[in-house]
Amino acid sequence: MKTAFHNLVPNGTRVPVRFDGQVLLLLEGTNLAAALLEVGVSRIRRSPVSGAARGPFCMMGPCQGRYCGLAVTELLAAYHDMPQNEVGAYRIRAPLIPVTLAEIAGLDEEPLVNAPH
Amino acid sequence: MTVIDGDDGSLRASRGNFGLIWVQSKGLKQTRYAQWTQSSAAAWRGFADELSDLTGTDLGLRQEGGLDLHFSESTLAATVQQYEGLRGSLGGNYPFEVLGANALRKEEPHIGPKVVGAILHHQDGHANPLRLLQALADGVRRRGAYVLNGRQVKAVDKADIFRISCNDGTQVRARKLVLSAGLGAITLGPKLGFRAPLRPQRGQVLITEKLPKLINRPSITARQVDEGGIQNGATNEEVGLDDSVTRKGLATLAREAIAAYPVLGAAQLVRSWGALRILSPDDLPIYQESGTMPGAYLVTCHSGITLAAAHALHLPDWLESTTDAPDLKVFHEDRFP
Repeated sequence: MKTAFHNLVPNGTRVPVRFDGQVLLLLEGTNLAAALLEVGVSRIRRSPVSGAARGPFCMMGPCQGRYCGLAVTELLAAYHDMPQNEVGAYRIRAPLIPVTLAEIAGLDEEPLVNAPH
Repeated sequence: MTVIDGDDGSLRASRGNFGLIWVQSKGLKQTRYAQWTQSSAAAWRGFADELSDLTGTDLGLRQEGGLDLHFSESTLAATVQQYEGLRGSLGGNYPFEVLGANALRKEEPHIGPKVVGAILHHQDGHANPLRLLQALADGVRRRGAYVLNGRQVKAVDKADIFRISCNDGTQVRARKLVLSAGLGAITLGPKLGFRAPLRPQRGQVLITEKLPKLINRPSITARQVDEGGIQNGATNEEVGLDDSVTRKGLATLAREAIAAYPVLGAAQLVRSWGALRILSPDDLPIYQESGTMPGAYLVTCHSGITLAAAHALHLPDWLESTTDAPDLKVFHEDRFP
């Protein structure tokens, strides 16, 4: 499949993954969204409102565990040769990983850790 | 006109908004507040159209009524009685109806069995508050105003005109000055001759993933945004200048949302946040000209979305003392002991 995305480290073991009725050979240990993008799968769902195609891209939301925020901090720190804590981070908004309202409703009363701005 | 605005870290009620344009339940103790709210709700369509024409931004305005959901017959009956009293004070202009469980289910097919009924008020509605903020910030520039971001006002003095000094050395001169700094008025108000008896009150809200149409009319418990997400609100907490979210707050909101619309239990929560309301001792707005610095006005309120149209279209007449000026005497700050 043709893809606009290129894996910067393409070498490694590939494993068969069935996606939408098709067997794809994806790099073992890679973030699933990134592995799918690499082999040309950029539409993983449709908007429930407009029906438009939706794909998993950086900073679009609670998509892949929000690791991209940390990656942005790391990249900026490396580029500017600064400590990561000087670069700072986006203000983290709970939840850090997708969670249903039913799961949230069952939580106890412990305070959440919330990053100050 | 120059707008002096704070920085990204400033406490901003405008970023925590629920987006309701809400008439019902307001002004039960002060009829003039109900009227002022109604005048703004009535002006909202024209206000939204003007902003859309100016900026090309669709505000997602829907004014097709709003619901006050009840989980017990006794709270429903008590609220209806209060609304009937207010309707009398307003000369009958208070169009609401009571929906029993069956009638409500016809309007809202996903409502849960714990909801015994609702009050449908036809003057209620909602809009997209982030688009409103964006359109106002864009529109004021297009109309020729200057917006100075990232600044804090440190001092104000007045000889013939006002001289406003900011923390970065910026100075602005003006014939008139409107202090609408939210919680910042607690500090700045006394420098301009106001008492500004304000306090923060935290509200936590959460929003789900984008979903197909599940909710037709908004309520203070849940509303479906024009983009598909369902927003659930909001807590009322007296915790000072702390806008963080808590596990207890989110759990409470999620439980209420599921009690109202059980189908939401399976919906994914994508984000939560907290923001601070700006409240006076009786929770109503303050509109006050300074006694010691004439030409300086304090404008502060909760319900900034609901009142946005009145503030944009009617308040300028009050600031300029024209013959069309709305009567805002009951909102002077000398009402507080």
